[in-house]
Amino acid sequence: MKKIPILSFFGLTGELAYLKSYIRIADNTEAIVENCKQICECTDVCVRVMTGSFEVEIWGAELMLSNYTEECVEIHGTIEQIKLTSRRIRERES
Amino acid sequence: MIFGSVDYKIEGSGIPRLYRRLIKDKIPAERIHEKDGCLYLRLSYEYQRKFEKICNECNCTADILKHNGMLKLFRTLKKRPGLIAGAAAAAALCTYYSNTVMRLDIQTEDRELQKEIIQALEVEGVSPGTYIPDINYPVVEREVMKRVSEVSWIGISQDGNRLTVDVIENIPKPKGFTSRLPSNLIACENGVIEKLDILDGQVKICTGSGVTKGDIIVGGEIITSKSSWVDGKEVVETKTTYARSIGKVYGTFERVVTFSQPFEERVRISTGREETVRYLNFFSADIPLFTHMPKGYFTSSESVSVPRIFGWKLPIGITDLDLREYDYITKKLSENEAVGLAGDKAYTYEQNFLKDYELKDRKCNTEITDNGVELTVTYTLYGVISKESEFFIPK
Repeated sequence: MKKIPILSFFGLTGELAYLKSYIRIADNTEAIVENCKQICECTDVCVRVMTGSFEVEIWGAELMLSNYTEECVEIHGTIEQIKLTSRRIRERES
Repeated sequence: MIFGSVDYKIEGSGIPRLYRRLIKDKIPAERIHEKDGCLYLRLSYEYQRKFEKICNECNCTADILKHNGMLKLFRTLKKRPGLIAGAAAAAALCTYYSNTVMRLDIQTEDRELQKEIIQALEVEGVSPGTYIPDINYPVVEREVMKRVSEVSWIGISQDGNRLTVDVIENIPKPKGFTSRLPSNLIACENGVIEKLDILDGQVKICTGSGVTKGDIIVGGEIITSKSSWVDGKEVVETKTTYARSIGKVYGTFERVVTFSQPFEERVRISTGREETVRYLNFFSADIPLFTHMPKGYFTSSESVSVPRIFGWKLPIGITDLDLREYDYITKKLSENEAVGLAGDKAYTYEQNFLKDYELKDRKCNTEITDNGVELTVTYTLYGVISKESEFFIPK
């Protein structure tokens, strides 16, 4: 079994430099994704955005996206599913 | 989105590129969603031009679907210049009336003093219609205090477009305390003394004697003399003491009064004309709702109607000023009417000035001249005919 380090240098750096993506979900009606680098898709049923290290897929109905502030998007609608895929794996697959 | 927002429909092949530019160029958009290959979003009006430029660069066509918020209101108003003019006029009127003196309240009940203060304020340039920010209150207060000698302090405060002038009037100088000064009782009528009620002082004139105005009836200077015989010679010692003559002297006297009544008299009559003028009360301002005030002499009565909501008075209302016209005419009186009016005057005089006396006799003599009637009444009265007159002790 791989040994998990107690203190990861890159993990701590990422946190201190605010490189991590914080996702806040309020019930099934609202989700806020921080550190959003790119909007890829925004349909009624699926919203796909790229963060620093993940691709976030939000599935649901009547979804709408708003970007009021810098590098932060807000998704409104009926959220059913959220899927996070590491960008590294995604790039490898493609 | 202060000024409103615009709903866009974007078509074209560069939608993914447009997504990137939205994030890169920090354009805040709302309600982003794709449908049937088209992108729909809502954008603040401030970013409209920038966004359309980006759309061109990304080979997208942006069509405006709808305007929202104030922008829509502006576009609606653009087609109705009357509304804009009305709103502008209302704003201008509000600005004007809130910065202009509409009413002056002088906080004193003395009408004469009120007039004097208003005149002094007018001289200093403060009157209804003055631009409020131009008023230098301390200077005006000082100048009004200089001009109006009856006030010892004045303070002007502003309440909306109403100026309230608080006034402290001069406190009258207290009358000197003279009750310890010696005094005489002197006659104030020409008559005959009938009764003396004297508590202090030396009686100079006895009951039954006649007196003329100014005669000393009771003296405050009391001279006592004491004689004694020393070595066969009379030695008289005189001693003067002073007292305050207190008491009342009753007597009978006559008073002759002439009442005249001309045949022509100026009387006030109602013409029957009635007018009503209205004012719009807006906060503390009375805005006239008429073009000109009716000319003439009027008596007036005021009624104010203020609408209420849940018991609260609204700051807007209507004041109805009912005016009833009157005029003066010269009325010619007959001889009997003139005699009757002269008699009325005599009666009024008796009620007002002879109440303190007992009326013993009353003789009337009516004389008719070319201009009117002269009624000469000789009253025989019984009552107090003395008054106190103070004097200083000679050194």
